[in-house]
Amino acid sequence: MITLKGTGLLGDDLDDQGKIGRMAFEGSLAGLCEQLAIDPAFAGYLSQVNGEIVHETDRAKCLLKDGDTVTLISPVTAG
Amino acid sequence: MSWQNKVLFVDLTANRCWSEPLNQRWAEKYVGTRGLGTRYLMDLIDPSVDPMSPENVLIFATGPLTGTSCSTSGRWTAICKSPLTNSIGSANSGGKFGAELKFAGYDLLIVKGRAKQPVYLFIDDDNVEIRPADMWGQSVWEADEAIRKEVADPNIKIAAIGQSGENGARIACIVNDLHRAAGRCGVGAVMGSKQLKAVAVRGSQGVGNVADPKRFMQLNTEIKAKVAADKGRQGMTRNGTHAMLSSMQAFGGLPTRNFREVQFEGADKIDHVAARTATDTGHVNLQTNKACFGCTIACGRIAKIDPEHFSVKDRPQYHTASGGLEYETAYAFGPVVGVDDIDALTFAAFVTNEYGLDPISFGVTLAAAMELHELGVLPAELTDGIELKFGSAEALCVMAEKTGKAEGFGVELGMGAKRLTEKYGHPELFMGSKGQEFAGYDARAMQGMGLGYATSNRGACHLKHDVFSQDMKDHTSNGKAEPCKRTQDIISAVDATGLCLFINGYQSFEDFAALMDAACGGWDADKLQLTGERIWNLEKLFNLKAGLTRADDSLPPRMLNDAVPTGSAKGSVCELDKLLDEYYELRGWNPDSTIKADTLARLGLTELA
Amino acid sequence: MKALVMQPDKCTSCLQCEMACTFEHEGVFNPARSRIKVFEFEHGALNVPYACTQCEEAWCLHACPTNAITINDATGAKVVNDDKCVGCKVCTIACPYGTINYRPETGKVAKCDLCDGNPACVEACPTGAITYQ
Repeated sequence: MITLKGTGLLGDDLDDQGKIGRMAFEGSLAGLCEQLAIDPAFAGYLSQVNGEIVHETDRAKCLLKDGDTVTLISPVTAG
Repeated sequence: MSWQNKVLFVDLTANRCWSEPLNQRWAEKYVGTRGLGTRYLMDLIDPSVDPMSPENVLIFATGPLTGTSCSTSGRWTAICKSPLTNSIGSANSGGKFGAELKFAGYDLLIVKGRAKQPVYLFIDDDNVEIRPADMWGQSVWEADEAIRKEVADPNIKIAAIGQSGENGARIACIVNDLHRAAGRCGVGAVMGSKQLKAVAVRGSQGVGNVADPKRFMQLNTEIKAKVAADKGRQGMTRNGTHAMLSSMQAFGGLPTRNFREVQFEGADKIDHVAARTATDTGHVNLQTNKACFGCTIACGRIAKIDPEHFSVKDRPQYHTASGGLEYETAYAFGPVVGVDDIDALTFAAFVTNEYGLDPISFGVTLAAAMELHELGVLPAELTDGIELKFGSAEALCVMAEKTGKAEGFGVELGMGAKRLTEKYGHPELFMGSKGQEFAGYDARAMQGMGLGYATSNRGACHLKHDVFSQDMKDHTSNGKAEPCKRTQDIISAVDATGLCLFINGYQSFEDFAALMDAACGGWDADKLQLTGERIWNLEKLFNLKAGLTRADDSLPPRMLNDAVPTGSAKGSVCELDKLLDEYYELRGWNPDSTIKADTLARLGLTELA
Repeated sequence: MKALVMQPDKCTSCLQCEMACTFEHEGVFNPARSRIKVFEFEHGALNVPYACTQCEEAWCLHACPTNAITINDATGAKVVNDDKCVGCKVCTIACPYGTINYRPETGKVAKCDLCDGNPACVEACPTGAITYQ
């Protein structure tokens, strides 16, 4: 089981879909993002795994394990 | 063509009002709001003029799409020479005032001179009167009520200044419709210098001269459907810009304690989730969302302060709802001053609206004062007995009120962070550019933002370019100059139409061009983008004539030398010089930031140089 | 008969309804002349759209001395016939809701006519605050 969080509008969107919280997942961060089908409007360029930043380009090599906390970061436009 | 083809002039020195036909050639070239307004300003003043003198001119400008059925058609811009930056002053606002000015039959209202006594301007279509302002000395909210009573018209739309603007606070804004503001550049101080308390306008002429009404309505239907379906738009409606806070916190670009840090330990107490979550006592901050004129997004927040909170206990006038926290207000009253009390933040938001203060500039100025306090330079005896400690909700609430009312140490805060830090011998603690304070994004963690801050013609601003997605993908300076330049041009054009920058994410630039074409005839995306570039260069020309140089496209040493301590861009500084060289090249400017002759010729600006 | 149903809790006061109304009837965007109005309370915390309720017992219709107000059989709307209206304003006094108004520029009164069964305000409302049901 991993713990999934999201920031900003992306967090709300995932929450609305019932995806925020604990979920069973095996594989890489890239695989997780694919499974979540993140809307391009929210992009989620950056993620944190256990508080450490993972860039979009490093997702494939970031393998998730039981107990990890993943936060997907959304760049909503200016405010 | 959806211009009204009429400009209202008011000379307060001569106590005279008259209208003139809109200069159609300029309207074609500069479209509206900040473009068209700046063109008129260039014609009416010498850019080297003292911004607080009667020779400065204050323009209230709408765009050709203002007051039409396009989504977000409520925008207007206040334009003058800025007393905060000594550069072009240009402050964009929503609400209903701008559309009403257009409905009264005017594209622009141009105010010259200085009244002998405090006055307000009453506009009812062709009936324009300069009236004595008995409400001078009152807050924006009190003046709004007084004018509404005097003219006995519940539908009148009012833009006014508070005591801060009356007293020449250089971070004073113009507030319209109670809680929308032309916030930046100290435009409220210029209005105050003219002894102009308010503009009250009622329009019944409407906007009716759309070039191709059938196509215009059809385009509107299609575009609005697209906007309605957009998930990003749905998120903005639900959470407003406030949602940006948790993202910037996680990313590590949330300016904290005067930009020493980029992550704030109290972020989750003041973010958009906190705003909609009931407290232990059952209080919910966020009441509802609210639209500006014509807007189908409605990102505005309406909030209530917990009546038991120290700031409003026994002050029932603050127990009702008003304009709540958006991202910039949340940042400016939260992380940058270290405060994590959402009711205190909301109180500061109410009060800055009530007294007409730019929340961003106020928050960052208070943050500078707090750092000066920490250095021992500003002890409590110099600040009305209040300890200006980072994190003090009391200091935030008291100083917001004092600055708004121009009382005590609030008068010094009202001068802005640049003047405050210079006065107390630490100019390096001013976090801004060209004298204007930074918005809620760190220029080291976001290199494109750093370049945007430094090159923004109106001083540090986050809304004149859009490099957010590139900045969040990659914290280096590589490839940031091009999107910065390109989006500055696009946003200049978007602003000039009279629509809101925030719809830019949900409708394409081609959509803007198509709407302009249906409304005014003869527009396509290439022409509109070139127009945006022309407007950017026009503003730059104003600044060059005002005496600004490359040295003014600067960032404080903290952004250039002190590495980001945490977050995704940990270790970075803003590589501004490298970015500027690349940027000037892309702009067709010389390395000293003057504009090359062939660039001026290409943009049709040679005659103004 | 269908009626305009207003839900204030959904209204954001964007005034798209007022623009649609005046464009439909007069070909301009002009909220000052709209037959539907949005009223704002408490700094915009509550926004209430408001138009003629098309009363069953329509006092405006009964008060009119020239029989200028008639009922559209298909929609039930009480409709002002401009060729008969002489602008005496008696209907504006008779109406308990203030939703029939005199227009100085035409010398006649104007009110909501439900756009012949296809209300423009309903189409324009982005939040579903105004429905026709």
